[in-house]
Amino acid sequence: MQDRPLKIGDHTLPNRLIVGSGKYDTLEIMRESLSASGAKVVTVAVRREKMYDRLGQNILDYIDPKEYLLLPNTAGCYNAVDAVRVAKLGREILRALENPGANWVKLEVLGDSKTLLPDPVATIEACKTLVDAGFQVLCYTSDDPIVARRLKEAGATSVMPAGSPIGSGQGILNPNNLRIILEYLKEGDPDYPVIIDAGVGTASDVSVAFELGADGVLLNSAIAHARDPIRMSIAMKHAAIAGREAYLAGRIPKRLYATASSPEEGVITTRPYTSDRPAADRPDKPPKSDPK
Amino acid sequence: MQALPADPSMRQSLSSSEFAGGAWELVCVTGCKRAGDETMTEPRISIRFNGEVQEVSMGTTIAQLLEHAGIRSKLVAVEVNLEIVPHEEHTAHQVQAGDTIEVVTLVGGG
Repeated sequence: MQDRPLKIGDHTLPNRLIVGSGKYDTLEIMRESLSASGAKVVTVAVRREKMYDRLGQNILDYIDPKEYLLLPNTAGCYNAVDAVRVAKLGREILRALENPGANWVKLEVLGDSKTLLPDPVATIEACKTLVDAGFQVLCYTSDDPIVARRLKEAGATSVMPAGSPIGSGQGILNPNNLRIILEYLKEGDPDYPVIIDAGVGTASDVSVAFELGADGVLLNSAIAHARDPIRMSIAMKHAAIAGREAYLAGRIPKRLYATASSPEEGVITTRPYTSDRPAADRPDKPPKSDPK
Repeated sequence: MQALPADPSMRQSLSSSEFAGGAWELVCVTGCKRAGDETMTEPRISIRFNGEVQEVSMGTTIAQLLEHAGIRSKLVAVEVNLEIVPHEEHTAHQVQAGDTIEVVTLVGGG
């Protein structure tokens, strides 16, 4: 059975993993990891061109803009003015490259450099400005449902709550908040894309995000700083498929007591304690609901 | 006409040693000569280029600036005094005395 493709604004993606290109030991390892992950969207940052002592290498020598959809970010910005400025510079580079990513941006406006937590007020302000300037804005934010709702109202194409702080590898700290965000943002708008961005430590975190109902996962450090980044890319690719398929399949509810998988009728053995409840009262089928 | 010395180390010495201490706003527009440089007759202006003060010939374009710095124009965006100069205008846009120019590119990021 085919999953429907993920649509984010104008872009239709063949799969649901978005990977970063930062923190790799070498550009060669980065290139192999991106390929192994199967991701088609790759985030990039905008920085000053090095004037001296440069090796003459550019990341675009290792990421073919014809093959990947680039998603420029505003990482390193601590106010709305800087974020808008960096977003426009990123757009100008991608426009010259004729990469379709020129019309979108991963907006990141940080509050401080220790936590790298987003500044919600500045993020909402920058989001509005960028939407007015014609950007499709993918907003990095905390897992606060109220801020998430404000960002959607501000015109964000996608809201991207963090599972835990950037690069922390703590996974998804507050699944309940993410459930509420998913409920709020998808109410009456089930295709609105919510992407879990940041905090992933290992493959199971990606699966958990998808099992909660996230439309996509964006990660970087968990691959780039793994002992074997290429192998971790493969793990992430499979974790995304596993989590998404599990979500679509519909998990069984959690129960306190066991439910036998083998028939309880026709047993030829005795049991030490007889159950007070007949087997019929213990349904072992998941509720029939379309997870969408 | 060479807007900038081809050797990057020379560019560095021009920019940092002679214009250190915030004196970069001083603009020379009349073909000034410096000690020991009798051949220099072109009008020179100083600009701030990615945080470094540099002297360039009057009339230097963005395209020339990038070429002399060994930067591939297609991989960068250029901002002059906080305004983006689109790629299509790089060959026509001449830098002015006192301009603050930022050249940015894409790097790895999450």
